[in-house]
Amino acid sequence: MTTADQALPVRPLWPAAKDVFFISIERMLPRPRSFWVFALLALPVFFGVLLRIYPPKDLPLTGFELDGIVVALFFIRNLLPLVALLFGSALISDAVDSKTLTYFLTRPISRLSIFLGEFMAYLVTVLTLTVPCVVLTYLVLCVGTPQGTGFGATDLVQDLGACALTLFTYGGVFALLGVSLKRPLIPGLLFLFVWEGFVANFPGDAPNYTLTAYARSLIRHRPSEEGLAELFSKFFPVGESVLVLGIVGVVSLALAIWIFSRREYVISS
Amino acid sequence: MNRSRRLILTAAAISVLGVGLAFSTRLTGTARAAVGPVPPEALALPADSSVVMGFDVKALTGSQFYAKFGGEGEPGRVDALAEIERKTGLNPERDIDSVVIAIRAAAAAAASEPKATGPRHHGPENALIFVTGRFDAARLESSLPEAGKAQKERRDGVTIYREASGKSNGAVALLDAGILVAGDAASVETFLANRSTGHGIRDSQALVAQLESIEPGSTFWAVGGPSVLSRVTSEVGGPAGNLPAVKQVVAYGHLDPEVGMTATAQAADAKSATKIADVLRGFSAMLSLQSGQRAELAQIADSISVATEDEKVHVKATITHELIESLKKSAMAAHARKAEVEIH
Repeated sequence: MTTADQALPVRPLWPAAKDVFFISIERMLPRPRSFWVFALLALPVFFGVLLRIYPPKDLPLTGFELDGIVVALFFIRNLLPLVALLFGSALISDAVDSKTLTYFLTRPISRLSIFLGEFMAYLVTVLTLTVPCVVLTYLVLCVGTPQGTGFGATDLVQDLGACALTLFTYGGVFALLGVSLKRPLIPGLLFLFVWEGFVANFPGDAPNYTLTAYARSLIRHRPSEEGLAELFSKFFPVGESVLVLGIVGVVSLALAIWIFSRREYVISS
Repeated sequence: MNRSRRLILTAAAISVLGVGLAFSTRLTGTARAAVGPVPPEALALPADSSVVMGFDVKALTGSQFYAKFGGEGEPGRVDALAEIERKTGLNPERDIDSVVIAIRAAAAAAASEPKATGPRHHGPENALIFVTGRFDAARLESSLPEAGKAQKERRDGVTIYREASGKSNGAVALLDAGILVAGDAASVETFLANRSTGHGIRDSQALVAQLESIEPGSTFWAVGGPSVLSRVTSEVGGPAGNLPAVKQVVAYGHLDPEVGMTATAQAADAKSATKIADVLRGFSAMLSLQSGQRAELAQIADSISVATEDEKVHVKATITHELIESLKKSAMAAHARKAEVEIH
C-alpha cells in the first residue's frame, strides 16, 4: 500500500467548517470591496446627520418613520440584496481566485464543511458591515426627537433581524447562482432589478413570487404607502414572511451545497 | 484573523452600544417608558383623563371566558370592542392586541348632565380609543366602514381619516403600522399635539401612580378619578347614592380560570372608608339573605371580600365560570317566565 492510498481521516463537520471560516473571513472582510460596501451602507448615517443639522421645513415624517423608510427601501429593498449578490455569488469563485479552494480541497475536510465555513464567513462579513450602519441610522434619526430614542427600540431589534434574514436568504440564492453559473453577476443584477424591482409592485398575486415583497413586510414601522405604491404594494404577515424567506434560504443553500459537492474545479496555475 | 477580529469586535461594540442606548432610554427616559399597563406609544393620552381603562384583547378573546360568554347579549360581551369594530372595521379577535380608552373630565361631565340639556352621549362616543394590533394602512383602509367617505390626510408622518359624510365628528389616526387612535376629531388632535410635544399621561403624577399600581398581566383594568365616580354613585341611587366621596378607584382582573377582580377605592379619610366598606358588606349580606330564592346569590356573596386599610377600601371578588353559567340560566328562565305571564 502506497502513502497515496492511505486516506487521512476526514475531519468532523463543524471543526472543519470553523477552520474554513477563520481562513475565509480574513479573505472577505479586510479588503477594499468591504470598505466600499461599508461606505455605501453608511450613506444613510451621513445623510441623517445632514438632515439633523439642516432640518427641512414641513418634513411630513417623524425621525422614526424616516428610519422605517430607510430600512425598508434603502437597506432591505436595494442595498442588502446587492451586498448579498457581491459577496454571496463570489463565495466560491473568490476562493478559487485566491487559491484557498486549492488548499481546502487538498485537506481532509468535506466539501460540506468548506461551503458551510465559507457561508458563515459571508454572513459574519455582511453583518459586520450592515448592523452598525442600521443601528447608527436609527440613532441619528431618532435621538432627540419628540418620540425619543427608546420609542422604536423593539422595532430596531426587529429591523436587525429582518436585515439578517434578508442577507441570509439572498446570500443563499446568490451562492446557488455563484456555484451554478460561471458569471453570476449579470443574471443576479437582472434578477434584482428586473424581477424583484418590478414584479414585487405588480397588482394581484405576482408579488407572491418575489423575495423582496416578503422582506419588506418584515418592516412594520414604515409609513403607509401613497399613490400608485398604495394601490399595488402587497404586504404579508410577519410569520408568513419569515417562513418563506427561511425556506427559500435553506433550500437555496442545500442546492448550492449539492452542486458544489459534485462539481469539478480545475485549478489553473 | 487579527484584522478581521478587530473589525468584528468594533462593529459588535457599536451595535450593542447603540441598541443598549435605545433600550436604556426606553427604560429610564423621561417620557417614553411604559406606565403600568399603558404602552409608551399611548402616553400621549390626555393627562386630564377622568377614567383610563384597558383590555388585553389577545388574552380576552383567547380566554375560556370569552369562548363561553363573549357572544351577543352574553355577559362577556365587551361593548368597547364592538364600538372599535364599528368605527374602524377591525376585527378584535383577529386584528387587535390591546386597547386603552381614556375618557376626559369634560366629556365625562357632559355625559353626566341631565338628559334635558341635550342628546346624551354614551361613554365610547366621548372616549379616545388607543389600539395596538396587527394591521397597517392597507388593512385599515380596506376595513374602515364607508372608506370612500373618509377624508384622508397625511401630517407629521401620521395618516388621519376623518368622517366626511358629516354625520359625526369622528377621526381615526394611524400612527404607525399596528398603532391607531380613534375618537372625536378634537380629542385625536389633542393626542397628536401631545405626541409631538411629549405631553400626556406622565404630566399627571396621580394618574401615573394609579396606573403603576395595576397588577402586571391583568386582562382588564381601569383607573378613575372623583368626577366619574360621583356620577356613577349618583346614577346607581339607593344606598350607593349616600356613599362618601371616593377620590379614586383602581380596578383590575383576569378572566381565566375564573373571573377575578381586585378594586381599591380611596376615600377622603379612614372614617369614610369604613362607611363605604360597611355599605359593601351590607350589600353582600343582602345577597346572602336572598339565597333561599336563588342559591347562586349566596355564592356571589361568599366570593366577595371587603377590607379597609386607612382611607382605602379593598374589594376582591372571584366568580367561577360555572356560577356565571348558572346565573345566566336563571336569568333566561326568569325572562321566559315573565314572557309567558305577559302572553297569558
